[in-house]
Amino acid sequence: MARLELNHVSYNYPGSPGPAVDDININLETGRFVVLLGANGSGKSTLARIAAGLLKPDSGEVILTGFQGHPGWSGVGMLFQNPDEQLLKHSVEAELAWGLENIGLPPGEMHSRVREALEEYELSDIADNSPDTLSDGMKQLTALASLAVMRPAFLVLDEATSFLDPYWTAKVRRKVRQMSGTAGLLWMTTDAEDAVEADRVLGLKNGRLAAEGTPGEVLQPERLEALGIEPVADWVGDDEV
Amino acid sequence: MNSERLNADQVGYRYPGADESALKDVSFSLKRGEIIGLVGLSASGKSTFSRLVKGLIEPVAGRFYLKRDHKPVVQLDSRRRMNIIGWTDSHPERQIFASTVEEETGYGAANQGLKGAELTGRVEWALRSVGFEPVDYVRRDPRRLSGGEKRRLALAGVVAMQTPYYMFDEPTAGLDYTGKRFYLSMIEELKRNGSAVVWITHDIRILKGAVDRVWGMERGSLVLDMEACGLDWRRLARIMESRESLRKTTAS
Repeated sequence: MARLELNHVSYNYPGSPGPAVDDININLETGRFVVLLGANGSGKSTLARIAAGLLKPDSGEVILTGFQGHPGWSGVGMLFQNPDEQLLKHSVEAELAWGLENIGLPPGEMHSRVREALEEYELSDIADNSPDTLSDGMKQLTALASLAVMRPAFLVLDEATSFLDPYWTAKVRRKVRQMSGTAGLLWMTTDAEDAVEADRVLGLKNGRLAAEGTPGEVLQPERLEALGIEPVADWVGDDEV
Repeated sequence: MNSERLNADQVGYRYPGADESALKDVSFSLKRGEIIGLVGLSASGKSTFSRLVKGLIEPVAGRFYLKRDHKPVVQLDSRRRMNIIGWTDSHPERQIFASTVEEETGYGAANQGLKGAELTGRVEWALRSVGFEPVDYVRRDPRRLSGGEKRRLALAGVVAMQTPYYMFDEPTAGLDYTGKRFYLSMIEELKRNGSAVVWITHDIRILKGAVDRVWGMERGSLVLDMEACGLDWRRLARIMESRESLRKTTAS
């Protein structure tokens, strides 16, 4: 079992009056699904980049242990809020293959994994299309599939459903839950519905952890309101949807 | 009450080199003071629609025009549409470029000729309308704002221009509780001021109680146009989640 630990992590953007992330501790194991809820500007994206190893904390440490995968990469993938930030190849298929090519996977296995993911994410029909020509929702899905094909030990998702329509939102939530069978998931979101099936829910406020517990504990209206998050029941409505 | 309507008559668009049209025979009539929720699945043509109506791309068929009671019809080429329609992209960071929030918010209004105290007042009004206290934000660097704050800033810059029509593409995606509440207040104010808003979104839940009509787009065509009060929201949500045709929304 692999483990990703954030120990007393802090980060201050140059020129900012206060830290964007302040003394955060998170322990994540493969097979665990953790959702981090926070309002805009609470520090979610900064913390996501730190967890994925894209941003070095000013203080504290990020420790990854037990990853048995390919030595050519860390085993931690990240899905950005804006898929344009991570799609760079000329076709959807090339996009899915790119990470595997970079770790030198044998062509036969690479081809097989890519085909499998194209099928699973319903991207086969647009495999030859340029990601630039896709809608935002399809771009996000392509980005997610290109991470899944790497079989990461940990996946950090930053607002993974922001640009998805209801069909894909429901589908991505199901896929994320499935992925937690083999990977540890850390999902940053403003949408409390993303947290309903999580193993653990954390709340971030002004860069600090302000809540932690099971979905049943943290998704209480008053606790969500304190975090600046819309209560689930309020969105769903009392009689509809 | 302003009787003006922005009309589209069988407009279509095909991307250069594409085999199929991205938009086909799209007609609508948008009344001043009306809020429209435009829904549709990914790749249904909503964003192309918004760019076409705004005037960023030219239709390959059809026309746009303004109609007022007892007045001659005014044809709208893309340049005229650019001037009367405020628009935000689904990725607000694409349209933010200034070095301060104040400059970013006032850029469009300044280009309209506003200056001095009038411009300052407009900027402060626009910032407050999206929930930013001007004194806390005007000197900040837009690039340092969070994704949700950038989205709200992009909205502020557009509403500062006080155009009669607005087209917002996924304005609430990634916004938190506070941001969504301010957005809803903002469009209510735009409506009171007599502007029309077309609000493109995947989020069915937030539309309920906030829009006057719902349009639905499917494979490049507008297939749904209903008053919100007559809509079965639960059914619409189910249809979208299961990828059924939006035409079923109105089926008995």
